[in-house]
Amino acid sequence: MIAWELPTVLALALISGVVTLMLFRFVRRDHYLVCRPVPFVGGVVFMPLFVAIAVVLGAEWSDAERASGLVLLMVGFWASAAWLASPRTQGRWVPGLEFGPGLNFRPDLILPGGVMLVKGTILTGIGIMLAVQESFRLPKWNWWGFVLAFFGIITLIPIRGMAKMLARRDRFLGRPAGWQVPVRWGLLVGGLSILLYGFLAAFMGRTPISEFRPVAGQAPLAAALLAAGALSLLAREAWKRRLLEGVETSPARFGSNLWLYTSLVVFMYGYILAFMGRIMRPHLADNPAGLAIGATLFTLGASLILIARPVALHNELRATVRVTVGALAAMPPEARWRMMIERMRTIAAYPIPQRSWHIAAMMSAVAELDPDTSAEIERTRNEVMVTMTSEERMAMMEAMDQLVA
Amino acid sequence: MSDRRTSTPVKFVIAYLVVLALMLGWWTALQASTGSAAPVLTVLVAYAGPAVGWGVVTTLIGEKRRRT
Repeated sequence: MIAWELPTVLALALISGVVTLMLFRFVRRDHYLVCRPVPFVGGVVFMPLFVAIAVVLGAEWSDAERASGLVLLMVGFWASAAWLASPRTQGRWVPGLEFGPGLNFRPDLILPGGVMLVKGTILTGIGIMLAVQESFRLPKWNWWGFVLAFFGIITLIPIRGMAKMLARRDRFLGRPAGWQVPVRWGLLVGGLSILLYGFLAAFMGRTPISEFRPVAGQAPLAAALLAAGALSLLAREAWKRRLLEGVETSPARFGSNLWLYTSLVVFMYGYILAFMGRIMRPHLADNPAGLAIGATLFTLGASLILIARPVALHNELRATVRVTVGALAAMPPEARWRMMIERMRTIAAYPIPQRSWHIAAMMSAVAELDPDTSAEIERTRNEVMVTMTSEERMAMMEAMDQLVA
Repeated sequence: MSDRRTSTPVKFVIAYLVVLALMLGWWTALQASTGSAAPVLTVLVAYAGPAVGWGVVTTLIGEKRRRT
């Protein structure tokens, strides 16, 4: 019997809205695949696999059939995020997507890192839920829980992504960055809280707020874990400000995501304790199947955040530089000059390895433009160089010499 | 001569309604497939929906791109 209930239709309507917004052709037809590359389109159209997971969890099958269906879908759920680590996910600059100075509607520049965070969190969460039961019990499903979790997804992917884009533009232009740590942290912890509460309610089969509230059992420990997770994420945001954007070492990139993941697991376990009211731990003898499936899903989630995400974030940065150069070329001459002098003064103040990386990234982006536009950008760059101080000019020349060498 | 081109907001609403209809159709097919009492058919329907959507979006628009 097919049940057309309000929360199901509402959830499908919300998902359809996001899918349409991300795939809609806002640009000329021949520019579409340039700014929405094939892997990006695939990542978007496979996001609604949530719907299939919900159907499988609610099917009237045996536990073994539902568990195998869940695992088969979860592998696709993971793969459709993992392939977003490909550098082909991000496109090149095309005109017609500008919505502010130096800003373009480019979900391909923010989606991969955000999707990996969200899907990594969900896979880890289901993995933990399956692994810590006393006996084998599959999650249930409640569509109202998903509707609430959807707003957590919106906070973590597009809203936090936009905040990161604005923050990156301000950093690129050497503008005050004091707002960035609290805003990014607030969106991360706020988004995670909504996401975890919504999905926990959904997987427990309860309606949020009316049927799903914290219980007192382990309240002090749960509060301590939630506070520790949140504070650890704040410390991480502050630490990240000290990294040299673009030339972070691989251990620093991995370490940053390991720090994120560890804090996330602590925060998540705090949520589980708050709503279950008792210590949950694996029971190998009584629930080997739950432990095995849970460990598999946990590993898939961890691999997204620890391995794929650092790669995706670096690709996003590289593509943002590329798209910014294209956007600069399309600006009116005066606006381009103003933005370019801010950008070049910021680069001149960077330490030498970071200076060289940003100049190389910009030069390669200029080389991708058509000859006339490329010549226009180079002319503005030369005009800006003349107005810079001799120290700034020397700094730029030193980095360029190093690149040539 | 009147301009008969459809505006972007109207096109967006049409696109949204098409996506919503496809999503509802996919969900209905998924629900119906669980009646077969085996997960294989449901998993196939689950993957077929996005795979077809992926193909349609990329090849349809890509095809037009090659023609222009």
